[in-house]
Amino acid sequence: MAESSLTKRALAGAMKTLMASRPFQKINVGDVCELCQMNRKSFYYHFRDKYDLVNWIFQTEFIAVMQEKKPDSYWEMVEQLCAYFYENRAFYRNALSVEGQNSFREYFQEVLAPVLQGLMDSEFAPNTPESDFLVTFYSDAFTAALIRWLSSRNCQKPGDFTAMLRLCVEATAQKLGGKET
Amino acid sequence: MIDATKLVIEGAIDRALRQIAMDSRRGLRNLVDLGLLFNKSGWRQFFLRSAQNMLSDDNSAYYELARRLQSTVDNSRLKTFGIALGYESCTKGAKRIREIEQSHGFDIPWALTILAGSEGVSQDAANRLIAQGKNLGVHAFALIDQGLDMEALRRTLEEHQDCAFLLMLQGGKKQVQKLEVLEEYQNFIVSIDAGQEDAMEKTEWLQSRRFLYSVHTFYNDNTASQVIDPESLDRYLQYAPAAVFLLAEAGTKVETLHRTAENVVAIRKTPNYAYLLFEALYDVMYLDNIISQDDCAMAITKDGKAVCLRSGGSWSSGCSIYENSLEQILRRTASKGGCHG
Repeated sequence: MAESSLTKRALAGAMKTLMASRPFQKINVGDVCELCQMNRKSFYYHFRDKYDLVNWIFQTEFIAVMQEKKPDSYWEMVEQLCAYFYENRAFYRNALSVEGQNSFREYFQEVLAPVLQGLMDSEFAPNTPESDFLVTFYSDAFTAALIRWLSSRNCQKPGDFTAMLRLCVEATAQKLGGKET
Repeated sequence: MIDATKLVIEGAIDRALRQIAMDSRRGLRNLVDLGLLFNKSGWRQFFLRSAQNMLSDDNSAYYELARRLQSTVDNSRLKTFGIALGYESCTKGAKRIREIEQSHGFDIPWALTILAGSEGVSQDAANRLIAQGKNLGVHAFALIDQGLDMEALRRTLEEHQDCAFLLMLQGGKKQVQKLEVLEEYQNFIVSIDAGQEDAMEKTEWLQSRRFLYSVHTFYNDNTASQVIDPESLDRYLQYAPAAVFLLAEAGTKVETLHRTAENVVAIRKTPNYAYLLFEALYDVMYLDNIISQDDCAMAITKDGKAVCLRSGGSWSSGCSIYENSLEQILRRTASKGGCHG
């Protein structure tokens, strides 16, 4: 493995360890570097800031999941995403709690947008009015539901959670004259 | 069925382009690292690790190239063309090519060159050929302008949005300006002849419209050393291209081509110039060899005849695309082990 990948993985490992016990806002770049015995220069060679590191963790792990599982449909993709979040719920509970520019929540919604667009295209009739509004609405709804789910003491299984999300989308689609199910 | 990998790649590239805007060095390094994540196969890993090595020098001119492309080319174009070439052609397409070569026993070039237009292969025929190529896994096409009609080209780009096209334009500035009708399409790169007097005007126009473009120049046995001398390499920079293609004229000795290619590879490895330099034929065949262990390039001449090219020489198949499908031509002329006329 190239040195750059090793360095990034070391920094990622340190961030994950820290986020298991401390809110994200209370972690700084120095803490991450200290834990994995890297200097700040190494950190900033690869990442802009701590937000960038968290987003990289998600991006790389999510890519690995998609390459391994090769989902056949958008709903399968959502279910695998939820399964991944469930396996790493302590980390993402923490990551999703942060709002604002460059936050993981903002990045996650960017990643989610084309998936939701795909869902809308498959569930709703063509030329459904306000489809952009629906994508934004469901992006906010999914994110809020995800945070609540990951934060709950007795998380539903990912498959059950995804089924509930699907129910909501399909119900809306039917109401708006969606495709026949 | 969805292509989850492509969806993820698109999002990742959007983010990478924003990062390059903020910090071209870190952004470009991270883009290459991302490529390594997506590409586990040996040959793609080889290329990407080579890119990583070249970027280990903070003064690498490729950082300037990345910064320039991100700021001067429509980023959607960079993304779409990059995905068409890197994913549809070199990943999905390459996989299909290998499968068919194995099962059918003939070589398939990873890219196809067509001399198309009013003085060449008809654009309808070119379109059919492109569709046939796609069925065999070919998703990269070079269209050499022989009087290309832009409306017909628009239909081609519309129909084959998952392919990467290199449009080598001839003619004056007016021909280049006709590209206006193609502005909404993003899966092509335009190439301008750097030897023409109005090359600078043309590239300035392309820049103003934020097109992705390259320049090309021809050489022969007498001019091979000139096209890669420091003066020429500096001159290409004036056009601010993404790439520079060196094209051997018909009749150029194979030794000249090989020598030029060796020099090109050496220049590429010591990145002092903010563009990617290619010996067109050598690099196409090199990549073909890596994809499927046999080098094979194919060009369709003006009169529709297929010419098969190998490192040892070229053979005209005598097969016409107006009478044979691409698969038939490849079966006859590119069976594993050699080209046959």
